[in-house]
Amino acid sequence: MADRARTGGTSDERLEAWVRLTARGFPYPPTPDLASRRRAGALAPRAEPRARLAWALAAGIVALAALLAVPQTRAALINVLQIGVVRIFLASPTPPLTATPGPTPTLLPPCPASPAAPPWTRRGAQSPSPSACPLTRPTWASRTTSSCRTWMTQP
Amino acid sequence: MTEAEWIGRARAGDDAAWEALVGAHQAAVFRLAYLLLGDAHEADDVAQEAFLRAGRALDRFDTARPLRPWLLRITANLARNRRRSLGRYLAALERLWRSEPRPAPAPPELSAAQADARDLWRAVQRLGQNEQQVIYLRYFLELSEAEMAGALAIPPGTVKSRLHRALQRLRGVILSEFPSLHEELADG
Repeated sequence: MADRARTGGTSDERLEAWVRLTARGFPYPPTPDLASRRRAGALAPRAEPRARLAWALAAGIVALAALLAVPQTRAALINVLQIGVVRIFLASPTPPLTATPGPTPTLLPPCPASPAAPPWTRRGAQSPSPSACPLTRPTWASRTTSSCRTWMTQP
Repeated sequence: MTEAEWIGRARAGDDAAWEALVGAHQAAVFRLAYLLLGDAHEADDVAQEAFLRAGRALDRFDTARPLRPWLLRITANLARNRRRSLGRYLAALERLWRSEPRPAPAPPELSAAQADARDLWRAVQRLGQNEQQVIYLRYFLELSEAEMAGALAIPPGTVKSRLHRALQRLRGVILSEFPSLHEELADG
């Protein structure tokens, strides 16, 4: 650089002189006119934003505590917020119910007509009765001392 | 009228005296904020805040000392807090999401000397915060070592050693990362 200072001395002194000269050419942005801004009131003392926030928060907490200190207000607030609310509804008395039995359900299906069924499987009738169904005698029954018949009747 | 007399009048409530003091030091305050933050809008905010705080604390200021180092110390502290603060990132995000972004100003044509100075600034930004600050105060704002001691609240001997260490670090950064500056340095 033509305008660069030619300096002698030690390496450190040369570095220092070069830094000083180079820094003088730094392109700063234009400085704002803070003095005139002060005249316009922009530099008037004002509360810090953080301090204002803290004050607002403290005021809110105090107001809420004052409201909750009144039982009616507290109850109304809890009612609005539905916190821990149990509602009890009183119903008018009703006449006692009378039970009318309906048709008894059939637990077992009707026995199918079996032409191969021996006559002793019927009780007094040729057709199968829905009230009594024969069960086939198991094989172990022949080994028992007395013959037995098993009948199932509908209740 | 001396600076101490201006300060005395400002303390007594003379707005014109305080405005005169602000006018005398606003360039140094704004420039230090700009060097530390790299953004003109943020530097403007910090400079304004620095004068606000100084105005509030003026009663506690020792008029036997010069005002500028004290103002610069307030500025450096505010800029450091600003760099760390969440608000800075929120403001950057707000600018990013603005529906109509402000048109970026065209980069001004820089002379060779200005370009070198900007590269030097970039090299200084690679240093630690304390080293940056001593270089800005000494070589960019051209404070004396006594003024620097006041601005940094450290003894003058510490200013010398810190400055020396910062220059050595700067030399290393220039050698390794800024070859164009290295040539200029070698020519100089």
